[in-house]
Amino acid sequence: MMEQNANTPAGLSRAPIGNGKALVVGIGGCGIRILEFLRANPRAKWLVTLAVDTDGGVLAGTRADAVINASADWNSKSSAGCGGDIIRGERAVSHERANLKAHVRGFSLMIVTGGLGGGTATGGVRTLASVAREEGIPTIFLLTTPFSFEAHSRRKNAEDCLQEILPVADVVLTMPNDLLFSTLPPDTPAESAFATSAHEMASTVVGISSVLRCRDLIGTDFATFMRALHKRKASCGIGVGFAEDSDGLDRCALALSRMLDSPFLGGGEAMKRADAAIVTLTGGPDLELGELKRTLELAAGVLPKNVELLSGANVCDEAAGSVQMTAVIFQYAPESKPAPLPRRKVPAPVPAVALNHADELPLPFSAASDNVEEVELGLQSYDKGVFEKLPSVRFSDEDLDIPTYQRRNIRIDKGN
Amino acid sequence: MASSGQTIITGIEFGTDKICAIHGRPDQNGNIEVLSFASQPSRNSIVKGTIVDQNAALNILKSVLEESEKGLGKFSRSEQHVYFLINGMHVSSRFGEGTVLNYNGDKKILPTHVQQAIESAKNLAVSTDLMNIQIYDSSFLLDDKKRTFNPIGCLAEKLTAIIHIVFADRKRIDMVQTILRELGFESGYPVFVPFADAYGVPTQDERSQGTLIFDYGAGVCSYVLLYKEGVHMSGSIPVGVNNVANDLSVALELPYEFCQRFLRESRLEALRGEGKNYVEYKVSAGGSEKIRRIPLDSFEKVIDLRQRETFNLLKKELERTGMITYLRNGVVMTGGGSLIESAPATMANVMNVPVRCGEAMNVTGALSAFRSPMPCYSAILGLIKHAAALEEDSPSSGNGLRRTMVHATDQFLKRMKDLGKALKI
Repeated sequence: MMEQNANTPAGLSRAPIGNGKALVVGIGGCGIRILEFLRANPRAKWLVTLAVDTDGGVLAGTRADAVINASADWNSKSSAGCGGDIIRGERAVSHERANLKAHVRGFSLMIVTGGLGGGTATGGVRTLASVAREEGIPTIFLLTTPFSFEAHSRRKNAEDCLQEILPVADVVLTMPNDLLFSTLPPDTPAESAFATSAHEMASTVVGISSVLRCRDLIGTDFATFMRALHKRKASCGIGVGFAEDSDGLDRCALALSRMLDSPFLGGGEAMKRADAAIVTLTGGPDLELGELKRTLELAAGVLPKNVELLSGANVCDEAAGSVQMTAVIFQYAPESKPAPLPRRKVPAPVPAVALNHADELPLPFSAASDNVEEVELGLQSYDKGVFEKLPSVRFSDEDLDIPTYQRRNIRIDKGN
Repeated sequence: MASSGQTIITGIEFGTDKICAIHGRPDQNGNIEVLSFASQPSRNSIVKGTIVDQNAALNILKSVLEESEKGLGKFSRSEQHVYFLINGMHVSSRFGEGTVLNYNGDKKILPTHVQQAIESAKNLAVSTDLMNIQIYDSSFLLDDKKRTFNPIGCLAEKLTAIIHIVFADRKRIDMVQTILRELGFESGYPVFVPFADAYGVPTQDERSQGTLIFDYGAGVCSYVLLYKEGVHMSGSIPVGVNNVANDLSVALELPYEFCQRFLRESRLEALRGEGKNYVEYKVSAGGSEKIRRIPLDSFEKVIDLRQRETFNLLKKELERTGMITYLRNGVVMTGGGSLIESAPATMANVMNVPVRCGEAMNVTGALSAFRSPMPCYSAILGLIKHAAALEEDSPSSGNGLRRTMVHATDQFLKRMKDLGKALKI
């Protein structure tokens, strides 16, 4: 079900990115919370927002420009949410594919925000990636992953979802909620921690969209993000710092310091461990060359010497009298190697000898020796379908006749 | 009907999906005129490009040939030039390197130097189970320094030829030769599928600018990388469209044949175009009928996962061999799999280069005999072009080759190689 939200101030929506328009899609409960913070941010007024959820109650209170109420049940069309079931979430969002297409058409950038681990966002982001690809819209996924104290199943769901969308999406930036621990004191109320997470995500959306919106002086554009991220799998942190003329004499230094304090950047230590970074200064037409040079030099100074640094500077008229520092830092994951077979400890084998000679045994065989490890063979069975009776075809150490989704442990909705 | 005195080329394809036969000849403009064509499903006699049931394959081919020869008038198989396509993991390729020193006073490289260098490059130590089936130009080195693709006329004291040699399992080639002999042919000449595509599908610019020809077949995918009209890499990946259909069948609990039809008829895009979100599939259980609704996104997900994996395997092979640097122009995708609507876009996304779907060009004649879309027949049409190029290379234009053809297979192949020239694509 799709509705236009009457709260949208006409004329403010669909401001250009270059010559285009940007849409922010909030998917699931967390995504919609982020949209709420975004709506409250005066610097985000140019962004068009779309809320997608399976819970009609959550959608009823949203101030997003448009909403899509995806029903998790094809037959009853109920809007009571999907209860954290990824398959139901996926089915609900895929059912609204035509609506999604109609909504995203005509935009030249899409930013999708949400929290992974639940049902709607975890199940639905792949459909959004597919729609964006079909419509040829560059898309950034800004997704949070669950706190470590949340249920293991939520973290596993988030991890599985990321594995699925990384190959199909243009840019995926994931922010572990745990990064908030680096800045929030332990006595912070839990509700406030979640609100901070949503608020910071909203600031990040504004920061990233501003980087891509403005005129490039030193280029950082969508392709820069694609280039940095398509090299290898990476984890990332994002920091945004904003300062106005009225904040003090050195507005750029202030913006830089605020950026370094951003919870989703992970603190100065994270900057020092970065393998690559995109650092951008966005200002108005009043941005001075000296400011630009000094600030980018200061930012580079915080990063390690061997970092792959992509610096940029953008100017847009709306930012007159203010500056914004945005940093996206990447830490590349180590080259993936085939996982070794799981091993388990078992008692060392004892040779059959007369008991009265047991203490004469050499060390490895003595009863006192440590346990040894043996390979634990998996019992997972695969269904090869029509290839079942054919000799297996191994290529790159895999039996390619086994369906890919089975080897990658990916859930498929069989329908009902 | 073919007039007497003109060379008719017979091409045969033992495909996982279909066995087909074509009769054609080159015209004066270098185009291919198709005289007749026939095709029948291979009915499990061929698995992943390899014949597994010789008798069944023979019977199907017999019936296919009878059908295709109907329109040719008086026709003697024993006088035919027959070429057949091979595919599968038993086909491999290697580079051979051969050097010749130039003692000429003016240091100018002559065609004889090129020929000697190529001859020397052919001497590779390989297992006796393998048979050298074709040689293609790759590039030449002048004095170990300067790489060139046409060294004739250049000045150098030393010329090194780097050639691309295609090998195939001797037993499998012999199996096809036996089938051909039983059907009255003297012997046939094998051509690896992507090389046949390379003659028919790409444009002249694509051949020279660094293009990967990718044949997305039913059982096997095979590829060849062309740069400056030389062959830089070729190989196979043992998966094809049938694997996609099987994945769908297992994942969504649907009959395999339904999934094959779903892919062949591009149902995913058609249903999306109709604004549908799911496939309705009737199942009968205990006398009552029930309608299953299967989300289209599930189909898309399964197809995407398999295709992405296949294309990533290809990309890894190109990266492992360092040949990805030659992939400058893009990919030309052909074969039945290229008709899956998402395939070119997924390939472009994985390889980060432009991708287009291709079919054999400059083909005239009895085209109404082709019942499926033309990309399904790129290889067999390209085979006729390839065969025409081979026959042109024959020193005595036809007669020499014709004489060779009546000899035993090995002698025939030896003679073909003795033509002394590696083929240019």
